[in-house]
Amino acid sequence: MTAILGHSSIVLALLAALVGIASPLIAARFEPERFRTAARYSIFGQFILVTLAALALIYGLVALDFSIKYVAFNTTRATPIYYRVTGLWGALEGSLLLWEWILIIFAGIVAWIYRQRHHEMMPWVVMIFSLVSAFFLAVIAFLSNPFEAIFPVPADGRGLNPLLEDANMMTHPPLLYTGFVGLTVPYAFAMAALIVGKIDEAWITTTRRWTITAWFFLTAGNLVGAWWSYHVLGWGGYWAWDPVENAAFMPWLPATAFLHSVQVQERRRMLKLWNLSLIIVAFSLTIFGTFLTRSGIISSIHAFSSGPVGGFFLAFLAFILIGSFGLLAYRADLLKDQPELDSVVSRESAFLLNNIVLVSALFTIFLGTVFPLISEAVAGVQVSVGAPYFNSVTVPLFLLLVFLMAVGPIIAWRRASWDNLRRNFLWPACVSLLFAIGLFVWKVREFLPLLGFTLLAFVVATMLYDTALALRARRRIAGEGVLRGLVTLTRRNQRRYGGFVVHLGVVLIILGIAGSMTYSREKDATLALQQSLEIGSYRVQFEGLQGSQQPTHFRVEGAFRIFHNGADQGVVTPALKFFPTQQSPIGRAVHQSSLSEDIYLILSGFSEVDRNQATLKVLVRPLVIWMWIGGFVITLGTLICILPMGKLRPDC
Amino acid sequence: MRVRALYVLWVLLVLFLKPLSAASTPDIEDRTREIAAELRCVVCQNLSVADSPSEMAQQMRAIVREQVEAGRSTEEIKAFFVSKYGEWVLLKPKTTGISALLWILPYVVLITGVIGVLLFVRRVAAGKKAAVAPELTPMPEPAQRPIADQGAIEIPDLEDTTPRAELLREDERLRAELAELAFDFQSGKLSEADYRALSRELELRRSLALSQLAAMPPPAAAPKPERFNRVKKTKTTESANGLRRWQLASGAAFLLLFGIVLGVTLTNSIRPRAGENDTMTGGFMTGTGATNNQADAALAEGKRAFDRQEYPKAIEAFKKVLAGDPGHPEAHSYMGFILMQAGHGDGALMAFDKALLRAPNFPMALWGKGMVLYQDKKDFAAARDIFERLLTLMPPGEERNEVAKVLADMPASGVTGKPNASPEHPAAAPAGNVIAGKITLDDKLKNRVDPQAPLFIIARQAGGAAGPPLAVKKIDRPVFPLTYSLGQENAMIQGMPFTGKLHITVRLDKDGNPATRGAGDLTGEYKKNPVEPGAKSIDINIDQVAP
Amino acid sequence: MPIRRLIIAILIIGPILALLAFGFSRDAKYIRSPLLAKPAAPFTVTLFDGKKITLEDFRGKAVFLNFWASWCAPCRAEAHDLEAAWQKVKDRNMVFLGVALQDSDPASKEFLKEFNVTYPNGKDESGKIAVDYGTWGIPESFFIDPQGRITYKHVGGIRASLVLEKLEEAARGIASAQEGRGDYQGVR
Repeated sequence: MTAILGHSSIVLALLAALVGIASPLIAARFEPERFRTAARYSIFGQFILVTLAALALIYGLVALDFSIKYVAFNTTRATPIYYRVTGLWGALEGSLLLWEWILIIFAGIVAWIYRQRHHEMMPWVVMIFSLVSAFFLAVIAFLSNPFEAIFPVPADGRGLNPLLEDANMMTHPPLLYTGFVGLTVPYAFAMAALIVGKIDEAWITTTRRWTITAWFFLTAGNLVGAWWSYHVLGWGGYWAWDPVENAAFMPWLPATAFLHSVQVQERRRMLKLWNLSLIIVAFSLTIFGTFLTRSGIISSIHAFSSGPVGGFFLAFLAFILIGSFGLLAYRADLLKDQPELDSVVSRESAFLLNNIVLVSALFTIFLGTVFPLISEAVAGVQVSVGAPYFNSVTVPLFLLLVFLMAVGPIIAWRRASWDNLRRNFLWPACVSLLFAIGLFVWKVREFLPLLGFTLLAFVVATMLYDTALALRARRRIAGEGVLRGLVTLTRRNQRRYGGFVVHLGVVLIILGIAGSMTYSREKDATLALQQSLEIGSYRVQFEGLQGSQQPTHFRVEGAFRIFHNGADQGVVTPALKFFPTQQSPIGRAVHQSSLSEDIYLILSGFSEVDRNQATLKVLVRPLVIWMWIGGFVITLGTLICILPMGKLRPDC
Repeated sequence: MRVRALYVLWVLLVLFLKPLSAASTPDIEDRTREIAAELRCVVCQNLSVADSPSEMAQQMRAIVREQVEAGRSTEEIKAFFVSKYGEWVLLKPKTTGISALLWILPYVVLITGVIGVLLFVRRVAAGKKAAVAPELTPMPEPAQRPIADQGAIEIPDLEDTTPRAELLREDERLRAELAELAFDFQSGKLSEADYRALSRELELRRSLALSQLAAMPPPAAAPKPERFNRVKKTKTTESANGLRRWQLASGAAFLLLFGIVLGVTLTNSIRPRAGENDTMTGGFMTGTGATNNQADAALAEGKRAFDRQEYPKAIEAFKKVLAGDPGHPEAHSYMGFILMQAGHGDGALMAFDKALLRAPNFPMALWGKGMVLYQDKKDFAAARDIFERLLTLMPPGEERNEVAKVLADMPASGVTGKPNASPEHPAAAPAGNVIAGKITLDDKLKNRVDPQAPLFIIARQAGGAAGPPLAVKKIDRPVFPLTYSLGQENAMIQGMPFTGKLHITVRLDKDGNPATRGAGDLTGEYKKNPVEPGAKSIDINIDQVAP
Repeated sequence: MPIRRLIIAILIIGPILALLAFGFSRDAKYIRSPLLAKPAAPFTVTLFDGKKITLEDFRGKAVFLNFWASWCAPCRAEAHDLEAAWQKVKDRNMVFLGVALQDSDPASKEFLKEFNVTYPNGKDESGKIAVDYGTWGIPESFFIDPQGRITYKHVGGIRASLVLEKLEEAARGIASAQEGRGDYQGVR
């Protein structure tokens, strides 16, 4: 019954989506108001139906209705409730339903909030939403149906993939999907603006908050993914440049570029074509991401089992790309800029460079991800492009970006004279140089890390200096103290100071990445009982093995006592989990974090014969915790940017 | 221009001044790790040999270490692996051949982009300077108007795209910029000269915009609010009737559609879903078809191919079914038959067993297994057991007769009874039609007892330790010594009289299946077989292990 | 003018889409071997019955080398075929050799017993032989000609008829152009 309810809801939602596509088209010809409202109601209808279907599937999962194939393949009787719910997005069919659900929630909110505004654009916005929604619904209804029945009904299910049994399963996919889907909003508005022919700032101003929100979820989703990789997967790293990881990261780049270049469009009314293209590319990359994950054309640890859906996603991607750029070409005459630039040394210039760097990064990562295909198609050679390549090519790009992060927010609009530059940058530059000298004297002798850290310090220095100057001005003007001054400054200029905080967060993340990539150490050894391994200022002593039976697996834990500079830090227990369905055990690594470094232990193996022997791999990774701290700072910054704070000045 | 050169120099600096460090320490472990980090683990997805926990990666690491110790260079070791696995095994693609593109293109794109942007900005800036300069000079007066003069400036609605609105927005933007400039000046970020210059420029622009605004006809302002009200009013008046009508219509259509869709999907899913003994689809032996559409089609295709004796095609189709449902009894049974045709008796047996695992009474599998045991393995006893069982399950009909015929044709196995089974000690006292007694477990077998193994007490027609059993009794978790009784109610085949000379054996069967005799089963038999029903004190000692 | 932009856009988008479509035509996880027509790497293997043999011992004969493990389902599926093929050629100048990978001795011996394997089988102690032959999936079968060159590689289960066919080719020193594929499983 649940399956029937779910499946029919999906089919009906598809019909509603078709209505939603048709109505604005009919309205364009025949003019009646009701067709426009019909479009909106179709979104609401889809929302209700898709929610119904999603709840049906969740119910089936929680109630362990094994007559549904999806439930039988993704849960067992022993699965705890929270993993049953996360089973909704644990496999291909359910993940598509989750995507569709989040999409229709966004669409519903947009349709509701703007029901009285943007009369001309809204039906088209809704149409675009219905178009994307219709595609996903069609795939769910006919190609990969989560409500498929299975006969005979098995007594017990197969269970969730053991690698997915983790708390992060509850946060990472939904966050990431929300980020992806969120980019549909500015895309829909952009397309509507093109269709209607109003290519000015209306659509940008309206979608600004939506874009920042989507950007935020993308950032958070990727960071949580990195956290999961680090914390759970147990190989000691947080980013493997896996094709699917890249596919999740790629939309972030044009989204970031877009957030910066819209400011140029707002002030100078130029870059219209560029911004539209950016948003089209960003949205297409989200579709490309789902395509890559589900098509099996590039092997990846994240890939869902490839089915027939891959081809359809490719077709949809082609449709989106050609349709959007076609529309852009059709309206090209409306996009003529009146470019107004005063000087090469200006904030406009810095933002343009920022865009170039981000787009170059996008190109590089895209090239690396699809290069195996290119190589095979053109030269017949199978190559693989792995982490060492990406790590080495993206370093110069990100260093450049950090430099721009320091210069961009501070340098003047229009024209920055030498005097201006001096006033803004001299002190921070000096401080950074001193910092560099200090680092060099202390420990950091290699060029690239030294440069990287100096630039990061430069960013922080420029921001602090600018804020200090502003606070001083506030004190002079209105006699405000530091705290009040900060509040006033932020309220007057939310975007600027929110941006500062976000940049600070990014700085912290890059700090973590730079530290852990450059100065990690690792060591592995086979230890007998009470034997130790020494690495850096740590000593790790093996204290014993213990096996225990868990609901879904058999677990062997090794107890290790960590000594840091002689002080006992306690016992940690990395483990190996043996699942009945897996050939090899799945490791569960543990780590102890401190502000300066993490010590990370992986139990590689143990002797089955002699219980007093274990093979251990220890990694010492400096500064990793700053990545996660940076993530929180970004969250704070984003909130400062978006939350309405009672406008002191109408500039947000 | 100086700054541009700075930018380009910067880029070059970063790109070409590679780190001075990254010295490969002579430590063997470090070198091994370095090399292993550039090799791809062939088993995992996207991990390096250094990071991968898999066994293969460990073996590869050992090989790398060995070669490092032997003094080979990094290039040589990498070349070794490439010679075995191809270029694919390198995580960092080579810089020659097509992979050169991978290394060159990113930098090309970046540098082209940077230079392009700088050139573009310079060109536009130069063009603007030429254009703006003459225009500014002949308008000194309006420039005197200070900022504070402007009172309540209306900020137009976002959706308003008239030129007037555009100008108003432009004015607003310039005001904001001027205020920003003022604050920057107060913060000390701008020198006085710069401030004056920039604010003058902005003022000029503003006055330009304002004068254009003043030159425009004002009437656009008045009807604006009215228009919106009018639109709203007409909407509400219309909505009273129109909305209701078409909403009702669409609601009705919607409900109709819902009903149709629900009906279609409902009937689709309620095709015969009864147990395997249902004969609504297919014959008795084949059982019902699955309701799963894809598996359905594959199953049907497989059956067709099987009937046409196109066995490879049939195998493909059944494999598809099994891919979706790995225990599917019918698919396994068909596979068993195909294997039998190919002469793979063992494989066939395995397939039938798999089918029986899911559905222990699946007739087709039982039939198949019986045939394998009969014709291939020549294990008549076991075959007989199975056919007997099959007979009990089948309704009367042509198929049943066929099975019975096979059973009858089967030669009784050679052994005609144990040498010491003399009829001199028939069971005494035919009181009641049962055989009763005690079963004990031999001491030397005490350790070999499987606590989960049930006990089967089997009575066969005298004339063979082999042959189909007449009666079987199953006792779960037997505790020895155990008192038992075997009677008419335990007869295997209904109606078969529990009479005559009977041969009694017992067995502790590990797999719980009375038809199969597995290795390691503990058996025992009554030393003074045969007996007759009614006999008491038929004591049996379990003292043998089946080979 | 708008047409021009559209054409430019299509010229950029088109090849990318074509490339992605191309991706469907091949298996991303399959690694093609560079070993065809190359000399087979020498190795020494200890058989389960204690003897030690090297590849050199088989110089002058066509060799069928099969990598397997007892926990691998496709290996089980092909075991009968291999034994049957062996029975057909054992009186000729051909040798069958099985090498067990990542397996435990008792399990391997059990496997051999279950399928009545009569040709020599040994164990790859250190995994070196597996890497020497670029093994990434099992079962993998190699055909080596009398001069010690690999003429054919087959990843996955192999049918008896193909074994015999390729052995004939190997005996005559004919190297295949492409490797073959069957049902396979990844190594651990």
